[in-house]
Amino acid sequence: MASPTAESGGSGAPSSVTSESRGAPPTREEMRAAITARTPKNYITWLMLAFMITSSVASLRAAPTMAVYGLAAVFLYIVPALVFLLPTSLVSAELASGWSGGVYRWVADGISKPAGFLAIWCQFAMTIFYYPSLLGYVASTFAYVINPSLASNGVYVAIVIVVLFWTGVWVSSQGTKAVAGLSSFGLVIGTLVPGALLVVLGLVFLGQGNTSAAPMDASHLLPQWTGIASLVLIVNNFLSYAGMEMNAVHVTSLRKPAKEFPRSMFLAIGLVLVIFILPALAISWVIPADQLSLTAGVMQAFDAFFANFGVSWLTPILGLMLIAASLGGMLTWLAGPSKGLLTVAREEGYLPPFLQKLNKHGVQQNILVSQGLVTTVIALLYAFIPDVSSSYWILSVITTQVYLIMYLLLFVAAVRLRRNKPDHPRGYRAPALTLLCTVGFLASVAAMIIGFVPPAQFSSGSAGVYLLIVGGGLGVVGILVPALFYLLRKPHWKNPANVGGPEEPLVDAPAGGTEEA
Amino acid sequence: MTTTSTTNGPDGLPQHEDEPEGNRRWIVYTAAAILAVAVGVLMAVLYNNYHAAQDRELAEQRAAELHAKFEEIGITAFDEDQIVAVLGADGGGFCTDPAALVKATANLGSTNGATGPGSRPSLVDERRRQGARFVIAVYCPQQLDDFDAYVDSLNLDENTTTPEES
Repeated sequence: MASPTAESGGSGAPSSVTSESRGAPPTREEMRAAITARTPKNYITWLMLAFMITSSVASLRAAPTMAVYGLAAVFLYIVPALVFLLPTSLVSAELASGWSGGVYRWVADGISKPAGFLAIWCQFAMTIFYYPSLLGYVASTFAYVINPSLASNGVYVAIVIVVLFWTGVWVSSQGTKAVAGLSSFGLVIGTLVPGALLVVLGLVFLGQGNTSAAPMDASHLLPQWTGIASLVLIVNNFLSYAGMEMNAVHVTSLRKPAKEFPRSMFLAIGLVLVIFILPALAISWVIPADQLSLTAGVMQAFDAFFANFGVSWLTPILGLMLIAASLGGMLTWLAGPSKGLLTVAREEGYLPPFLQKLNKHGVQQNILVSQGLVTTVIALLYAFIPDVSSSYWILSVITTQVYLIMYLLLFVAAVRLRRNKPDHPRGYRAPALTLLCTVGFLASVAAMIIGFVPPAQFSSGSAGVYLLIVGGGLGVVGILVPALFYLLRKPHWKNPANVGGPEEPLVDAPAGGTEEA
Repeated sequence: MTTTSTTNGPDGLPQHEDEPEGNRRWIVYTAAAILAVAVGVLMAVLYNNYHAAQDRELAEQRAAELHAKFEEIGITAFDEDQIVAVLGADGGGFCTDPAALVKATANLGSTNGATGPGSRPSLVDERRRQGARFVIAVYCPQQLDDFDAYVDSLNLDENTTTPEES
């Protein structure tokens, strides 16, 4: 059991005059306090964490795409929610309410430490490829508003990506609280407000006596069944909810982690579903699918929506809002997986000491910068090589395949933890955990299998070649690189003041701590 | 800065004093808010300028032409004024250049419903492909060959496309 020291916050606030500065090695409490940075004013509220979780996963970006399916969009989000969102969210809620450190800790305790490293590596590595596409979208959104031809200007795209990414790295290095504040702001301004606006305008449209452009009767609830294509459509949507577990690494930033994290997760589940489903439906009420098909981007689709109401002047405002939401989401991804990787790096010495270094805010600055350098190279390729388009699509499949490895490990670990450590204190116990994990595991396997079906963007169409490319990428990024880190690790890379113990349950902070939120 | 310390913690060490960190956080928040407002104003001004510079007569002429093309194949859901508002005189995102076109048409309608890192290619929307070709034929016919070449490079079959009547 833990003592209410650094892990429990309050009295264990980081000391600026450390034992290291006195010439002695840092104590366990000092290291842990530095990493979690839990000064009394550094708590984040459960609401902020719920917003962070939501911001990582959901935005309005997909609404025009899914609106094409009309009422069937509900089906395309609800089925994946049942088989993937609920398992990942409820399992994460249970594990985060019992263990600090996020997915690394869960898998390390449930399976093994190398497996824990593999899990956090997979979560971390796929983000490197995610940022360029996210920021490319930001660049195209900005260009759409000010001058669409800019979107094809490599210099412009490169500048936007690099400047915004490194600004994000800097903000992330300012600590969890700054990230929580800005990402929550991004969610509210960039997703909740415009999402509500879309829904209200949609209701006004119907309230004026107009007929919904997309039929809203029960016969249109299911998408047309077309065999493998339908499977691709439905199963690929499982990944709409990828990322729900990621912010669990910040659980120790809550005042009462065991009690508050599940609350954050439940709210996030509701918000994610609402954000995905309602705006897509609202657009389908107003704009016929044929007309949506005539829009060359997310912004043009929203432009068409606003044109129906004669409020095209809202388009640039919405553009800014969508950009705010994207950047807020990016901040959460910058701050989350890298923090988990830091934990394993320090505890087990799987990464060189250079990457274990913290800045004065207790943030894993060197991991962020190293990640940033790789991301910058990929982003520049993305901006300057037009032919990268098809490669980009294949890369996006490989990264999601890598991410699915983490989910497979997560579900196995959750079952083993429940079986092997039934008495470990947890703030929340997921109902029918074994069933949830089985469903989630099978959904992840299905998504992985569908990932090997060649998409239209793979020109040759050869299933064998595609399998080799995706399988090879999965092997290199998801297996070979972490295996090399593991095999090449040095005993002295292990930090003597390792972070946290595997058996340690979460403990609430003392009531005396003030909360700034 | 976090290096200052004035109070001692229970272990006897000076306790972290986070007031300056809080100040800096508010600097970050304030800077972000000011930047957002400034970028918002810039976007609104440039958006208006861009649309004001569009040739209204040409926009209406092209919208009418596109409208007629769609009527020929039985699609009547379009309002010419809406087409003018969305596509302007230059076709907007459809007619920037082939690279952007490829990205634009490939991106929308062929991704899954994810907006986070779970985004991956799904099915290509046949209606979008056909509609895009109509728009290009009217607004930037010089790019039609590039578009057709891109479409020809795709592996389009019943497993990779959304049928027209989904």
